[in-house]
Amino acid sequence: MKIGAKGIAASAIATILGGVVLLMALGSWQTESEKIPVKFSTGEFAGMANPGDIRGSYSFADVEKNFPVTADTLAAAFALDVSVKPAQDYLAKDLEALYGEVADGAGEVGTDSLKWFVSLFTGLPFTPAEDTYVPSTVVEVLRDSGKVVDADTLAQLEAKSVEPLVPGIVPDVVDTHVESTTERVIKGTTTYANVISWGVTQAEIETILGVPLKSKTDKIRDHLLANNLEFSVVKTQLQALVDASAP
Amino acid sequence: MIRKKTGTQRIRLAVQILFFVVVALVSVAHTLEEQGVTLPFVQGASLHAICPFGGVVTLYQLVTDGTYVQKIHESAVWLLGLVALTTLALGPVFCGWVCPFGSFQEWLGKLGKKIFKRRYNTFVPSAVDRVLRYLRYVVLIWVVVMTAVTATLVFSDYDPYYALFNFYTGEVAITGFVALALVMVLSLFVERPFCKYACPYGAVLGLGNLFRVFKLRRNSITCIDCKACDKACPMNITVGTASVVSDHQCISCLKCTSDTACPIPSTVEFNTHRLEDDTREVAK
Repeated sequence: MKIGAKGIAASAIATILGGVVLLMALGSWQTESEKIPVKFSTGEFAGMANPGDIRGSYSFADVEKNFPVTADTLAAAFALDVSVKPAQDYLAKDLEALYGEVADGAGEVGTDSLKWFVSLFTGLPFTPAEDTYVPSTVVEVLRDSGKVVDADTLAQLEAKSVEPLVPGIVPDVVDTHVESTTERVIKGTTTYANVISWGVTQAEIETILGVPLKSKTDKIRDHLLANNLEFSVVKTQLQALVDASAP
Repeated sequence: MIRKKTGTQRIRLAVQILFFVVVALVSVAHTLEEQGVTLPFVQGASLHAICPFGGVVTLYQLVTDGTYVQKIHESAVWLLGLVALTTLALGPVFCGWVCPFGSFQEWLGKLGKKIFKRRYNTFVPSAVDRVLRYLRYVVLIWVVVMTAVTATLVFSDYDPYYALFNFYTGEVAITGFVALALVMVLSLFVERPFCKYACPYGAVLGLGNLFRVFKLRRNSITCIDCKACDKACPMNITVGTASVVSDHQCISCLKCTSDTACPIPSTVEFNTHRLEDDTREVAK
């Protein structure tokens, strides 16, 4: 059997374009990721979303959906102008476009910077590339929210920080999503990291809890509920320690 | 005088233009969508999402981890399957008829032909050319291994095809532009230089020439040894001495066939059986 130009043309068009149209009709033609990062498969973070898999095409809304960090916090951390577009609409790769190469070409603020921030904010593991930089507002947000209290980590961040796009104060919006650093009162949304940042040690917390503290970023109430512990009882004991360590 | 047969190549050109326009439209629509502009009737997608080679490089991760390499999506794997079907039936039809970058090189080559006339596509010494033809398998192995190791699209920064369709987006690495410029210049001297020497996907599809159902066959009984088929082949394959062309570089373009270059009817064509059998049958 012979095949000529018409046969080949028809075959190519029918198979490739026709195949695509058929797949579209069947709902199987997927040209974008579902914006769900892979999960850690082993270790203490098994089953949790991996910040290392955040992609350039992720919007801040996608990040918010997958990690316990709001789009407003992300916009504030990277000093993005939310009057240009809503925080939720910024894409991870916008950072590269807005900041790009920094420190005289020694590094870059981009998607990796976002991964690093999300990792530190949520307590999930991620190792940034050597040339990954962040705007100084990232350090402020992490420090002020109590998400990073470790001096070494803060020093490492500061060494890799550059001037933000809009120099100045972190927008107030951050305060609506994270604990106030001045009001040292344990509430339902307070995390262990907050308490540690107020001067209580992890060992002191574990003594009260009677169970090891796996994640500092856990909300105290949620963690206690998961461990069948009474929030009101523990809260009182922890608050006493917080008050005792007040400057 | 042999009348020039153009019908076959006009059909091929129409298919090439169709796919070139479709890919360009989808790519532009994707860029515009990211800026909040939607084109009517065109669904945007990144170039990575509609390149079947993405399906090749993500296979390892898909099998071992159940996920795709960054920027690669399900669509690329489906395209890999669809193109594999055409390849099993007809050989690398994708290269000769569909791939917009192959078409782009071919169209640039027409300018080269005007400049160098008969010398066009004969500049590379055959001894060197023979070795260079396997370079694309080295590229293929490098790309597949490095993509598996790093889980990122390592080839993207060197891919002239990506550079061609994304030159205006600011997402193309300088190495991509260098590769594109190099291919454009070389296309003026050599027909389809990227396809011949560097295309990793062409390397994969080229293997299809060993298995394709419709094979490019030459009828040794009716052949007059005029070498018109050899001269017409853009990939410099010697068709005139083979009974079946299974060269890994054939792109199924039909330029050598009796529908185009070969002056004798039914002497070089894509067929499922030996052409000599037909001749003997007629002789009886």
